[in-house]
Order: sequence, then structure tokens, then C-alpha cells
Amino acid sequence: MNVCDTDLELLEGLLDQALDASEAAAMQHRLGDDPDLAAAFRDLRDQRALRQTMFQSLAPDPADSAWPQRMVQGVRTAALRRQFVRRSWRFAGVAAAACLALGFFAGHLVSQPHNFVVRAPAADGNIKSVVAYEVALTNESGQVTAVQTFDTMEKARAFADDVDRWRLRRQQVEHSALVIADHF
Amino acid sequence: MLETGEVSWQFAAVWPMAQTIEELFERAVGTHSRRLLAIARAIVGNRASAEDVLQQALLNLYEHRDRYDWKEPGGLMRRTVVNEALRLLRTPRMTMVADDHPGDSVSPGAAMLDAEMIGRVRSAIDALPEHFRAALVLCEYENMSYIQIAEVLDASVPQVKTWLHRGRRQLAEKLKVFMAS
Repeated sequence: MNVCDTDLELLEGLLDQALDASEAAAMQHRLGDDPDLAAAFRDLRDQRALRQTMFQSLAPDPADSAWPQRMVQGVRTAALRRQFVRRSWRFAGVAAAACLALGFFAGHLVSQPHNFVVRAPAADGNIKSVVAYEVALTNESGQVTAVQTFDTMEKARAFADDVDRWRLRRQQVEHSALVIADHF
Repeated sequence: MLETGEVSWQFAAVWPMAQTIEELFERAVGTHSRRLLAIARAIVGNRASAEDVLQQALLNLYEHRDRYDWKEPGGLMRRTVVNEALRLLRTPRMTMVADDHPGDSVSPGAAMLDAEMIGRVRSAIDALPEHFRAALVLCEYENMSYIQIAEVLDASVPQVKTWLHRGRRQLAEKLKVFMAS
């Protein structure tokens, strides 16, 4: 069989119904006159039919009528799962951001210069533990100039916060800083 | 003009019941999914699970179902499945997937032809480059025009013609060897 590549492409175009009317008519005419071309056309047609049968065998059995419904159900389940995962990630992201914020502010609070002492004074034979909270006031050199004692941590912290605010205000006045609203 | 008591069959024909997008999606899957699975299988061969490809493609469409027209979804679904199959093939994989083409899902029509021959054809197609396979299945199974195939595969028409021609030549050579033996 002596058929060139160009003719094979034209024959494939004929089978694909991709030739225009005049090209298709010309090929049909040639097929009538050229036995080699006609044999090549039959080969191409047979091979194509074989491939189409193979492609059809790849589809699920039409007798399995529930298959499409199973596919729809699978898609819906996967969509719900994906939605859940996205929400979980979003929640995790918000929780992480909240933890970071809390940690920042907690660190800021803890970094205030508070001194807490647990003291157990000597008893008259009876061991008695008393918890007291002290706040030490220091000068610029870091020397303790005074100590204030409180019976609860909340009172000690409130006193220390007051001292910090007073110190900040004094710094601002001394350095001619902007006057801020005094809510102290 | 209808008399009182006459049934308005005309209205039932002209005005079909309104359907939700969910119902339209379900109907689209029912109509097209078998063919889409065949397309996915033809393109990915044993390099990936065709059912996974189909489900992923349908999932992508389902998640954005409000955007699409589900009355004529065939082209959209086909394009999505082909793109998903080709995308998966570009992802490096460590292992081949076992053939998810169990005997009970084979179309009865296949039994009428020599099973070995079908297997040979399938192996030969599996060995083709992915775009040759995709072009072939869209042309010969979906009967799409070269222009439609070019749109789906994001290629030019001459490229599609070349892929088809070279793919068919390679298959012919492989099957010629098989027939001769």
C-alpha cells in the first residue's frame, strides 16, 4: 500500500468530518478511483471503530443505575468535608491569633516591676503561715526606698499600677511631653 | 381558549417545573457522568484513579455551582474533567494506581469483542503522550470538532490535527506489531 502522509491526514479528516464540502467530495472521488487509497481508508475506519469500542468499554455498566447517584453523594460528602476542614483552619487561625494577643498583653502586665513576697512570720510555738504581698519602691539607682504591704495580690497590683502611672506622668512633665488626659 | 375544567397540557409542556441548582446538578451528573468517567479513564490510564479525577472535577464544579448554567452543562463538565485529568498527570506520582476498571463495571458491549484486543488497544493508548490521548478521546469518543478540542486543550487547531495524526500513526504501528505476532 503506497499512501503518503498527506493523504492519510486527509482520510482522517474525512472520518473526523473535518473536511469542508469540496474537500470531502474530492476525497470521495479519489477513493472510487484509487484502490490503495480505499484500502487505507478501510484500515483507518476499522482502527477507529476498535478504539471507539475500547472507549465505550471504559464507561461504567449502564445496568448499574445507582452509579450516578453514588457519584453525587460522594461529591456532596467531599464538599462538606472540605467545608469542615476550611472552618477548622479558620478557627485554628483565629485561636492562634488570640493566643498571641493574650501572650503579648500578659507579658506586658507581668513585666511591670512588682515584688511579691510570701512571708511566714515566726509564731509562739504555733506555726502559722501568713501570705502577704509587698511592693517595693525603688529609686533611679534601683535602691529600695520604701516597702508597702498588702494582704491581697489585687491590692498590691493596683498600688503598683498607680506607682507606674505616677512615674510615667512625672517623666512626661520633666521631658515636656504632650499632656494626656488624666484619668488617674 | 380553554373551557373551565380542561387540563392545560400545553402549559405543562411549555413551562417545565422550576428546578433548584441542586436538582440540575444531580441531573447533569446522571446524564453525563458515565461518559465523563470513560474520558477520565482514557486520559489517565493507570497513572491515576479515574474515579478520583471525576469526583474532584465534579467537586470543583459543585462548590461553585451557582456560577454555572446547569441546563446545558455537557461542555463545561467535559472541559473540567479533561483539565483535572491533565492536571493530575502533571503532578509527580510515586506509584502507578491499580487498574480501577473491575470486571463488573465493564460495559457488556466489550464482551462482544475480543477482550485481549481491547486490552491491547487500551495499553497502546495508555502509552501515548497525554495530549495525544486527550485529543483522541475527545475526537473519537465525544465526536468533538477540532476547534472544540483546541478550546478544551488550550491549543491551536493545527496542533490538535498533529496530535491526532501522530497519535493514530503510533497506535497503528503498535497494533500492526501485535497483529503480525
